Amino acid sequence: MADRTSLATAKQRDLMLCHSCHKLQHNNSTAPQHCQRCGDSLHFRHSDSLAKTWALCISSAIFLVLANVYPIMTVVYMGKGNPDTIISGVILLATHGMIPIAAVVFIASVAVPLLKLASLFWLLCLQHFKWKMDAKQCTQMYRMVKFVGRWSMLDLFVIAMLVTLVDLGGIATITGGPAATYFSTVVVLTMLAAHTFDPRLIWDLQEHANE
Amino acid sequence: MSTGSNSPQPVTVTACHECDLLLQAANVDGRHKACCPRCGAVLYTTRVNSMERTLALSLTGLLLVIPANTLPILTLELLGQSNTNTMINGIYQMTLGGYWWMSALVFFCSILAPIIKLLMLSFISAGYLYNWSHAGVAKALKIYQNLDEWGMFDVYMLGILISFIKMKDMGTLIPGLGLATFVALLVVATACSAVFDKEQAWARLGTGSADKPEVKHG
Repeated sequence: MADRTSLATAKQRDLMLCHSCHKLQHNNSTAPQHCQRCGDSLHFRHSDSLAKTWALCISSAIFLVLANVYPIMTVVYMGKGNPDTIISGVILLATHGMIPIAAVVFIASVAVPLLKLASLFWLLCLQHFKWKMDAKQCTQMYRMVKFVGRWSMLDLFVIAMLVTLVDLGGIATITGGPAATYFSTVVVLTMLAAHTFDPRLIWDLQEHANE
Repeated sequence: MSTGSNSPQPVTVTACHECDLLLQAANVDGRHKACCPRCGAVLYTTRVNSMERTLALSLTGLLLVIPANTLPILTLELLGQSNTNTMINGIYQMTLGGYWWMSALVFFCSILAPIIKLLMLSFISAGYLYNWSHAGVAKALKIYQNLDEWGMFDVYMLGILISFIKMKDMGTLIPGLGLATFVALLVVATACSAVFDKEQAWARLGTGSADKPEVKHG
């Protein structure tokens, strides 16, 4: 494609890319502008990207703590059973010899939300403190965060299924716990946070550093 | 090889949506994808007969939706008692238990969003093939793009597998017809999204008149 010496961003050439239909068009500098093709409002970057992402990340961090403190599921089998939190559920699975399942649940409901939030906070801090980082690696991390986010819904689907499946009166019942609500909130908020963050800011930062 | 995509265009300028680099749009065939040379983002892919295949697959998917949601997925038998799980009654049960926010989310991600996605895809591809009005198709494309990552058939499938393995020691588990139709629906819906060529659908909506950006050098 273009040779390296003529690399320029659309913003430097006063061009805007439509967020919805990816049509490139001129900035006419008359406030609010709309895409000629699909009618969406045009911006150089997502509007208030950093502020929105901060807000969503901080609130999902709070909900993540709540989701791990309260029980997410209660299994009562032959009259006995305790409420389980996310972590104790994983440990229970592992002690019963179901290591692969424990690993999948651990990755989907503990590791992914934590790493996702950590990565987003890291990207936000880079923007605020203007740390120097390899922009390509940061973009790859962002892409990973976006890709992996939806898999956190796994535990919630499992709970919804088990609640109906195991509803056998005195023999065995499974009920949900308050953490299910908090955890669903975490999933939604982190997915929205990944959506509001604009990866082009990473590259803008690098261009400023090179000037 | 003739492709169902739009014919080669004169040089057009585009920008990477992930790093904003200005690029010349390259023509790619059905087996390749165009990537940004700086950040590696996939800019677009071209599919052969994309719209015809999308229409066929999305209509097939819509046919499978009702049996997949209402037929039993798994049945658990334990000491003479049995319980059946369908996609719908799992959500109903959670709502009864007071977890309306979680059940709403599960309903949205496992039923509503995927169905809307299939509806939008059939509308967009039919609109492309039969030349329907631009405004409606543009709206459908936007709805499809916004819902894209919220449709979670694949995650739900893994959820079924995990519940299956978790419960198999507890009692007898019998997979139902719902599971078979759900797997079929998952395959069809995934193929449908993979075959759908967004760029081609958007390109038809462009008026194409004098709005190509020129790049000022300097």
